Amino acid sequence: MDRRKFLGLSVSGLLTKTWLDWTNDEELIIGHGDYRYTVDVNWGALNPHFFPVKDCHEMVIDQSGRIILLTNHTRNNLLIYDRSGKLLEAWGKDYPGAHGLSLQEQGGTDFLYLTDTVRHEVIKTDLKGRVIMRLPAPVETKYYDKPEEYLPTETAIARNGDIFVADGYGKQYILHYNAMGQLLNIFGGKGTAPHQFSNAHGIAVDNRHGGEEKLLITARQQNALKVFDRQGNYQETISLPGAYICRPVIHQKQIYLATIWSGEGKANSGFISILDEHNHLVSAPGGSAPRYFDGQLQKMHQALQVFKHPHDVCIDSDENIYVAQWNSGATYPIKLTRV
Amino acid sequence: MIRFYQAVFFGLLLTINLHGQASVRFQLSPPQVEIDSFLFFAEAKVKMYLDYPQTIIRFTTNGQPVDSNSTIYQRPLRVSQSTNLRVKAYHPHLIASEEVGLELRQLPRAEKLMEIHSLPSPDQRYPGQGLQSLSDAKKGPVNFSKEPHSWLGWQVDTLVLFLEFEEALFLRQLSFSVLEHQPSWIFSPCKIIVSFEGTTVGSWEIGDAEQTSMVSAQFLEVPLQEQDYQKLKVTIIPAVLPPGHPGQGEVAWIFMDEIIPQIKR
Repeated sequence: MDRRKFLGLSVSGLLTKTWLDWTNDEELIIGHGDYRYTVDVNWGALNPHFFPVKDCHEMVIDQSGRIILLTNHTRNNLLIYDRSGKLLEAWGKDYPGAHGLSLQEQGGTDFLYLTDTVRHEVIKTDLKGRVIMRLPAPVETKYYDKPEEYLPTETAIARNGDIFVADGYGKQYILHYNAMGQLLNIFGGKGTAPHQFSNAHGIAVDNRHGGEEKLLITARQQNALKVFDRQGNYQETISLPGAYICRPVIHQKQIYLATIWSGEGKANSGFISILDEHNHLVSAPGGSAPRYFDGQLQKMHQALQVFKHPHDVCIDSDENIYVAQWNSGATYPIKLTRV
Repeated sequence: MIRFYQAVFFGLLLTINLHGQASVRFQLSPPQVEIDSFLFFAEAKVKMYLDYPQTIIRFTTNGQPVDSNSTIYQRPLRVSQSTNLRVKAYHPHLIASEEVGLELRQLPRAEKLMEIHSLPSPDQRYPGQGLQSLSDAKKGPVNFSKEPHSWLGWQVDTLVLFLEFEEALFLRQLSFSVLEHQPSWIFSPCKIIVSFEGTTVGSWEIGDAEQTSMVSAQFLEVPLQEQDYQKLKVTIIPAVLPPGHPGQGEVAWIFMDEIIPQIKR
């Protein structure tokens, strides 16, 4: 480099630094209490001509720490990243209604469980996309007359391999299969009774406290998580007023929830909800500070427009959060780095 | 010398670009506005808030856009007349929020004013709380799927409402509270005609409507020939879904939750 060029670059750097300091652009930190994060909106960005997305619905992490994204774009339903956001693999052309994504390790091998609201079924695959098992619409039962009534949004896999399916966009039933795909029980359904649901969008198996596993089931339009035992008996409701939550994601003792809308449920009003081991809301990145009065959580709302419609989160081993968004202009996942 | 300036120029471009990638400026969310009743007889109480440190909320009550010189919100407002409220949040280091606009309407009097019949009946999926809830002085939330359902919905070529007042009222205007959410095929009607004994006494027609994905509730005002009325017939023509809409060419839904007769005092 010649002297003039060196001098020029040095001057430009000095001028720019001075201007940037004057404009006081501090890095944004969102969240509350012990759960605060910086925001990287470009973490998962890819060239849409080669790896397009429509809605980014859900994400999971495999044994290798790879982050697997499910989108309903049939050029590549599954996009697999490393933690830096580098794309490693892309596959899947057969899932136009790809919505739910769960992962379970069985005998040292990871398997994926996809729900598809257009195919009206649940599909189990390996990490290369090879189909292992399909759970079609349960039209043989009295609960469904035709496949079109069945719009499964989520699965949760128990320790013993039993599969729970939430029909969140259909008739709001929860279906319980054994690991071989035999239907054991159906419970829930649409309604306002405690054991019923308005938009049973998500489900997770909760084994944080030892003993028998419980089920955490989203009632999104009711701004609540409902707790059931494995037999489908209702136990309690965790009320999250103002929070239109998607599925619960359990990491260690906490529950993380993408909160797609808030307040009165307007568009572009989402944030993230984090509950502690006592199921109390302790942080809401992008949202208002959690406040309890007389033991009741005060109604939540979005405070910053970091997110449009967060649809799922996944948590890595450093407790960073990856956020997939629905109806966000075909944007890719965002990363929240814990500080 | 040219090389020096070239280096300065490209160095500036590179540094600004890298800094831009490192720090994105975010925008405040619109303030939350709590109103005890959008439709009121004596007064309404308005509370505004946005839970983020260093946020300042400013507002106007005359329908004018909010700017950095507008009144700062410090305590709940008490509103005793119809008000066009506009609210916005500001922060020293973040982009100001979008503006929120709300209409509060003072109603003529508390007692029930009219019976309402419609042809056809509301769609069975959107019956609201029944036709008489169109005069119950309760506004529905913009989240129209929230229970209890407050909005009545129709998807028809023509909607006709028959209003019968308990006693003759000297009216100057009818206001219709309607919902718009274009992605859900819900549009403001394109025309409203009010007639009395076969004669048109008031009409309203939509101007150019902008395309939006936002959900909003608004009042459509139909001025009337000022006189006593005991009965009125209201003919509502829905919009047709515009080019570019997924349902292009289909009839849009009409969602309504209140009809307010404005009495001339």
